[in-house]
Amino acid sequence: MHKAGKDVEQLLPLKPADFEILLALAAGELHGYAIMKEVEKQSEGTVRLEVGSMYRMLGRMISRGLIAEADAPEGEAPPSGRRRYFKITETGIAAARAEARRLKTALKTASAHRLLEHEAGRDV
Amino acid sequence: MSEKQKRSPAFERLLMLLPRRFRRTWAEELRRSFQDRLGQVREEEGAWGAARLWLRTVVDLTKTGLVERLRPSVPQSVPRLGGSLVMRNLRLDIVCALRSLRRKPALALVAVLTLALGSGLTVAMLSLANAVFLGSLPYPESERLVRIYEVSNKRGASLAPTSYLNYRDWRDNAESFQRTALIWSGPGTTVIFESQGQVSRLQAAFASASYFPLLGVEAALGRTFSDEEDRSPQAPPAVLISHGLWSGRLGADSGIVGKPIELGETPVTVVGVLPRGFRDPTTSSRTDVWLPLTMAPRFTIPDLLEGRHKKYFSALARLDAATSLDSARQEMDVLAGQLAASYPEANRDWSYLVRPLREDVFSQVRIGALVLLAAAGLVLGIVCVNLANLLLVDAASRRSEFAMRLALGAPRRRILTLLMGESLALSAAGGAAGILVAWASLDFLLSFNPFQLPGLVEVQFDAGVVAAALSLLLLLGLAAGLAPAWTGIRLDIRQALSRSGPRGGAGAAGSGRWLVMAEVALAVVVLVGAGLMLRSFQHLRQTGLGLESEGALTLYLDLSLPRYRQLPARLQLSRQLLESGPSLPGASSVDLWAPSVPGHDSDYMSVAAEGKDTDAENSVFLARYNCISPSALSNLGIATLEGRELSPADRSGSLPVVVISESLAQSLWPRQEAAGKRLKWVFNPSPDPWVTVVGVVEDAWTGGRLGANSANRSDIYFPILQFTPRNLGMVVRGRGDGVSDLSGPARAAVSRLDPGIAVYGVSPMDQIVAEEERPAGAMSVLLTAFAGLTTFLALLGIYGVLSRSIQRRTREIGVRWALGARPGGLLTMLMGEGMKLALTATVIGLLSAAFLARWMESVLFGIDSLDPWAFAGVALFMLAVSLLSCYLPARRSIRTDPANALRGS
Repeated sequence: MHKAGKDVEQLLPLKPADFEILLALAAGELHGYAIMKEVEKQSEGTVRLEVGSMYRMLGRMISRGLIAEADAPEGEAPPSGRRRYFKITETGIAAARAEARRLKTALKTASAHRLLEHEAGRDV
Repeated sequence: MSEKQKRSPAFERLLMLLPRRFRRTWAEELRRSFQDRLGQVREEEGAWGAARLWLRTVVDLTKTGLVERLRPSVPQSVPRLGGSLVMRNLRLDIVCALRSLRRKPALALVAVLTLALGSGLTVAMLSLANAVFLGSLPYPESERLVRIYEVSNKRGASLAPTSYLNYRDWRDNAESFQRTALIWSGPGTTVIFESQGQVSRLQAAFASASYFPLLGVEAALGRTFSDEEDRSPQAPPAVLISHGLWSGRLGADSGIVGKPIELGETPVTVVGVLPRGFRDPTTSSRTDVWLPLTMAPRFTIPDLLEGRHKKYFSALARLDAATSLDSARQEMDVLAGQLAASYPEANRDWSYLVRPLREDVFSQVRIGALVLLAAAGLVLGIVCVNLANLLLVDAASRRSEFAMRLALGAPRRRILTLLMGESLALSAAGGAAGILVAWASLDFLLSFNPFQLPGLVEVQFDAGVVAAALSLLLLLGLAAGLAPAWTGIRLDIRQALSRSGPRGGAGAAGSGRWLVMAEVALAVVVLVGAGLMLRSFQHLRQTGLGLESEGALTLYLDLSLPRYRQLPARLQLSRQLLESGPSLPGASSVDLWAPSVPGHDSDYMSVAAEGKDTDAENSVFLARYNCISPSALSNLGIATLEGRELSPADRSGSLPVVVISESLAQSLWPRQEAAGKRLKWVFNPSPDPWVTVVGVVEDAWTGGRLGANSANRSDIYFPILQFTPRNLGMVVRGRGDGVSDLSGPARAAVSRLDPGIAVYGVSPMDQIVAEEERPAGAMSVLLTAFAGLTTFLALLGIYGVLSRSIQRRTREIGVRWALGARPGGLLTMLMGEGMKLALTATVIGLLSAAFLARWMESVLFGIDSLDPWAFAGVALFMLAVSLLSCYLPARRSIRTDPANALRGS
């Protein structure tokens, strides 16, 4: 765990899309298209993945050990065929956690500089 | 299976943008997720949303493809330059050039991008051409392999295979060849293979024992044929099997050698397995089994090896190390003369053609590859002219800088090397980017498959091609740098340093104009090429085969089993098939058409009219040979013009009759009625060879429209009930549109009559037609893309030259304004300068295109290489777009404030 934690430091800051994928997978195992939909939903449409880039990212994240391929759940067999499912790894969780902490710190700083109030005011 | 059917061809093509490694891992997932996404988008946002998704996906996959390809191969270091004084100076120049380029990123970007596109296309096309024109065949010392044809001296030189007897004679006498071999493989050499209750049809080849050592091929398991198997038909039947058959149907049995299998109900012994990937160079189809030549009569035509007219065999030879191709040709000419003297009946008017095997294999695709290569070369040419133009403009604007350098004592040589260095640096960068473009796009371009490449070679990227392209590019880079460097050398320091001199200089403007004219002319040539291809494709689509192919399903029956060796059995089968036709569920008509259905080329026979001397010039004609059921022509919409159709009464025992096409009737009996007259197959040895013509029908392209014999529209139709060949085609027309529903019932009907008959080649006739059109379509797409690119570059050139010229004339324009010129008149005057240039260049381009288009003649269908529509269309198009590119700068200039213009800044 300690070792994973140290490796994780080198991965920060995560790219926004990587972070979103980790967040989507933190909730459970998903297949490619479900990841696309989930990321779009949770980022409120600000991060949209296209198929080619997404699988490139998934491949890269697998090779970095952030995520791994999972077995397809029961009952998800033909007619839809065998989709490939992905799950988050221990390293992935650690990285997402570290990134979230980093963002939280940044958020604190931002609100201390009263950067967010303006934003909120405009929203209302 | 259902997943496979859902594949979208467009998406499949896009996937080719990705590197193979990436595709292997993710292609299935990409398809699935994209389909899901597309479905969702279509539901929520409709067709417009779907179109946007496609666009985003194109961009995304292009990006992903590039990023993935670049990822593993990050360049490690820059090669070190040498240490000599010349080199150090050169290095200094390059550093200077790079530095000066960094100050004008827009110029560098445009130059590198266009160079990347131009050189990328060239490298991709060079790779293709490399495989077609230079690549060696996968046989040892393949450059000494030749193929030998018999050539008829009558009626044009049509190539024919050779007969066994002729081959034996010249083989024994020829001294130019180290070894010779004979092989026959074609639609007539199939065998039925039955194992574990499963009947299938194998492609067989009959080869002499010398065939394998000639090609330098050894068996992967066991041995190839022995001389004994070659000589006596009594030898125990031996068979060699392909690696594919061995590893597939035969279960990769390592103890297969020596085991018996049954081919066409004849037991044979497997003596060897050929290595993986071995292919017969004389045919484009895959061969499954090889049998000794002497076995051919037993499996096919009983008297095949007797008679010099039985021209079925492909002859191959390996030139002796000491013999040149020319001397081999001379020797074969002598031998042809001897054969003609000894056997005048069969060999008079025949000679031999000795052709390098490589050239033979690629003979069909040479022109297509050449056209694409030429087009890519023109694109590269335009790109370089464009570069020269850009540099020239840039050099003109730096005249005072150069003058200053010269005044401070720099040798003129340094100005030269600086300018050349810039152009070289740009070409090198463009070339490097171009190689990436080529690398990324080669799979993509090849997926258009503009012509059927023979399976013997693989198009790939090799160091030689890249090196050739790079040196070409550097050469062109040097050439592009010459024009500006020249102006730099001849610079008049005093004039350049004094501010009052004309900006740009007349010299620079003059050569810029020439360059733009060259660009426009080159673009016109490429446009004409694309226009001709498009017109030809359009013509192909409109013409069809000259018959109603819609809704017709075609299939073939293999009658190579021993029980069909005699004609009566085959006639019986034809009769039964026609009788059972009306009861075929879903079918409105069932016809027989042999030996090849319309759209597939067939055998040709030499025919002559009764009463004509067959030795005389122009009395023997080649006609495509068809055997058909009585209603076949009318069911496919081929009308009878004269006489009658074939009828069910034309059966064995009745008067031998034929129907012929209009073209053949015109050749045999010009300006006369053909019905009632008689003709014969020239080589028919029977005492009464005559058959009576009962009708003349419309011409159709029954042999396809683009094959070697496509210009020949002479067809002869025999009644299938008088003669049924061993390959039997069937044409089934459905009641509705659903062609696919017919294949099941048709197979069942055949199997009810004889379950031992293998049915193969099931395909809608429309698909045969479309398959033939596909290469022309692909060529049109590629050439149009090339043409678009070149036109765009040429227009940029016109735009640039005119903008600069107008800028130089700003003060003059202001004066004209002040003197009361009208905007219309001013506009015409300014545009006139550009249009004069465009018009001249277009005319030059059209003339060059007219000259070059002859080369394309053999890939064009139905139009002349000087097709007026294509030429006129290109001329109009070019003038219209150049009008636009002249209008834009001219309009901008007359919109400027006259007061500002007068101030002349």
